Amino acid sequence: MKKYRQLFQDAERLTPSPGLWRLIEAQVELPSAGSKGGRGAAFWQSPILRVAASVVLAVGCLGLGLFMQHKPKQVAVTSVSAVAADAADSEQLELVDPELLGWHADLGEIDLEADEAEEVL
Amino acid sequence: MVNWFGPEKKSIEQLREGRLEGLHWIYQTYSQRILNQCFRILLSREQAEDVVQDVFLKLPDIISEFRGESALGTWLYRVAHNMCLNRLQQAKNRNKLEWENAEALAPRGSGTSVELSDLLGKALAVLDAETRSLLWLKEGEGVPLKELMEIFGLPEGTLKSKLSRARDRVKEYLEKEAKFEKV
Repeated sequence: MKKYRQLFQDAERLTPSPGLWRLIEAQVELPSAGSKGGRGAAFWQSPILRVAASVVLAVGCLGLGLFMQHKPKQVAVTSVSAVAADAADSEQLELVDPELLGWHADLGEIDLEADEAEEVL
Repeated sequence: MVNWFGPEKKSIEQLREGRLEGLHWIYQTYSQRILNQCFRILLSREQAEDVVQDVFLKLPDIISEFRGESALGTWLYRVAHNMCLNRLQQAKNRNKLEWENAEALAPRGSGTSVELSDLLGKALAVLDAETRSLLWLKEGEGVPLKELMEIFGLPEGTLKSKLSRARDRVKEYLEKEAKFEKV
């Protein structure tokens, strides 16, 4: 077993020919900066940044959820205040003095009499 | 896993940005290991260098497929392994076609020029190309079993039994042909 392992350890190991890199360098077609799989792809492939993006997304979703939860309450509050305002208006109408209304009607009759008098003249 | 703060990450990013220094770093770090893996599969230095050249010429295009879930070296071994097997398959098909056309009747083996100067080379030649690659990476390069599972896409049990059979065959060859005393 020891000799078997030794055989692999002592095995001939090749090194690339000195000209191999020059051949690759001369023929390789590198993608231009900003093309697909460029900086943007590398950015998203960083696990830390992916985690950070996930946290931001989760917080955003949570915020949206809370906002949606509170919104119906606000609508309800608005509706309640609108109904209250209507009720207050009707109460105000009821609060108007009937005598004052009678006086207002009298003023109208006086106006009418004045108009008739003008027509006669 | 890729060390996202080391030179490996930097070189991958540089390559993705289309910068040659990224490719050069990867070449300097991995080309020798890939060359030896290809040499053990193809049994020809010339063809092994051709595959290394192909791997590095295609790397700027295929680096987007590298997700960083395994080490870059493991991924490169897999790429090189597949390219070598494709090359052997193409050579086999070419020979088969030539045989069918009755234009070349002389048998040509696997289509590779076998260079078996060392004892290990001769012993590995008794195995098929995939098993040669597997045994070399395990015994010659010390690639852990977990990484071998990723490179070959095989479960642990299958890999272990393949390795065991390969070891037995190599030892058998060494005992019989090379008059190896006790392997």
